[in-house]
Amino acid sequence: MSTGRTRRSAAGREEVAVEDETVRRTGRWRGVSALALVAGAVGILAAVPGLVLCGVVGIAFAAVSRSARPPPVTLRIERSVSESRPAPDETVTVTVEVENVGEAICNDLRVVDGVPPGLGVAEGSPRFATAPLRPGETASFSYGIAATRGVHRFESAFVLLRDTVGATERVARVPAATDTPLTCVPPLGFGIEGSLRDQTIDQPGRVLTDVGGSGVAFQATREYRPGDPLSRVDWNRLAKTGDLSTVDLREERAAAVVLLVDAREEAYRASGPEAESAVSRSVRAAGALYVGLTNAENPTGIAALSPDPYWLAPGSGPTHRAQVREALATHPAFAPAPPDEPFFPSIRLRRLRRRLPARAQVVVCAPVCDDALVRLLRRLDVGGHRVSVVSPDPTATDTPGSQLARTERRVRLSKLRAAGIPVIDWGDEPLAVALARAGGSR
Amino acid sequence: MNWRGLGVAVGVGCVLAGLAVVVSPSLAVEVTPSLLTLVGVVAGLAGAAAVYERATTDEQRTEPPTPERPLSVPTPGTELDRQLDALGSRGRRFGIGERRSIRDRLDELAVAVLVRDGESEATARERLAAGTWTDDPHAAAFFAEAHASDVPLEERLRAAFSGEPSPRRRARHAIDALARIADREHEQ
Repeated sequence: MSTGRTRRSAAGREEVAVEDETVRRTGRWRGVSALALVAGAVGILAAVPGLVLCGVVGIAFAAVSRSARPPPVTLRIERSVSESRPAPDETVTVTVEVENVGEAICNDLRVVDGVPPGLGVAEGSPRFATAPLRPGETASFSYGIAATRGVHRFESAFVLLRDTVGATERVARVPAATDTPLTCVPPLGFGIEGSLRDQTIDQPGRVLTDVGGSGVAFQATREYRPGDPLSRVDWNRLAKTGDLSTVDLREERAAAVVLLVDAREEAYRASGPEAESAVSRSVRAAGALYVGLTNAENPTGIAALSPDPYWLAPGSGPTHRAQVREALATHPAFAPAPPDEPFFPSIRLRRLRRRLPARAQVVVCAPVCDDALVRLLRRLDVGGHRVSVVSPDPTATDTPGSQLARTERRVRLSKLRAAGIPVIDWGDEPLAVALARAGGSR
Repeated sequence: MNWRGLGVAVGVGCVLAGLAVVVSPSLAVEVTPSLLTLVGVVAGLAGAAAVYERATTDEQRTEPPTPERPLSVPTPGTELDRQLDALGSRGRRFGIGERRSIRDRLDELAVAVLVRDGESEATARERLAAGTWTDDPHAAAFFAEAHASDVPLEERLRAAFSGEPSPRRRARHAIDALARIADREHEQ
């Protein structure tokens, strides 16, 4: 029944698209025929003419309900929004106009607007009922929705039409005449600095390496070799002992980092029906880490671990930053709703490895709620790209099942740590707090 | 459809006959008491059938969608809660698949938790089989059936009256005990 079709309205003025149309009986009048028949039978058998007459009246009602037909769906729905690019948490007012473009009167009309699945209603109600709506008449209603990250499309409105006596009803989905998507692009957030692993590229930066050279942190003293800069000669020692030696400092270099957001179906988990999903938290973390990392002069890229791949090579600068902001908010890979397509870890991992620049490290934002991810991350780490994990915790403790899932996740994080992959377990606290706490223990 | 067509034809015929009688009363057949009774009985039977049909079917209502709340994503562990609920609730025969799947999952987790706590894998399995890994007798009994008798009598009586099937209670206790071990290590 999911075939959409277009009906030329009786007036021939315009075409109305209707999807999933069904007609069914409500059964509301079924009791009347039973009562009428019983009254009539008793009346005949007991020879009471009045009862027979009552039965006849009841039969007339039953006949009306049997012959009733709901009016056709000849409604044109026009939707408008007060702001098509709202800020996060801004309330957007949606106004829906329903016009009867047919020739029949809609005696009993109910409309439930197709609020985008990722958004919640903040004010008023998307439900509307009216009677009657005459041909050419327009009714309208409005409600407010709270904007969140992502591109949100309205779905077709649910329409229910009944005949005058309510014996039959027609249910259909009617798409709006014009598409009004909402795009909400939150800012990347304040930069948060996470500690990186010591895999770097040949470019000065702020990641402390074990390479001796110029820098600020002391590493070792060694014998002087011709060509060493005078500033690094250990003059104190020369004065004391007469030996000429050079101080080696730990070189500070930049790291090429790719922020990998786990957006597989398995990552769409939350600690409750109202809680923010782990993917949304991962995306927020990726945004904040991107700003922090690029502020510290590390070229940073973004990738999605999802059936719908996304890849942005490491870079920095205002254009790159704008690309990251737009992608994290609007690319389907990071959508607020889970993907439907299957995810093939081996293929995705191979493609990711091919794209990762040499000596790039990977910071993974993932809830780690399945074992497949643990294997994938270990393979990535062993394959020559240092991996660290920022893990938003989506588990709860209120039922035995969630308690078990929580313990399983703990065990998984321990396995990652045992494999030398640093993991930041991010609970309910702000990300910066989780990072600071982990920074001390690492 | 044929019966429906026949019914319509009979109905239309009756109405036409009635109209004909109104126009010329001489066409009327004499109504004998037996014919009247027959009509009454047929109407009574039809009425009884209609009452029965009405009483056995509910009024069907189309549930409109509820788009007010944003789509919610699952909480980890919900499918295990479903499996736990299925345990023992519909008799012994039905919970077998669920029991096996819960057992496999808990076995694996218990070994992993004890190994994380500093045991070797072999010792972990031994301790699970011996029931010495926890103080909770219900939890121990999940992995070692023989230890079911370690539960004090008073506790067993209370459990019997709680109405909760014992596989589910044991699984619940085992999950709690494992979570405590995992938490303990985390705090250190």
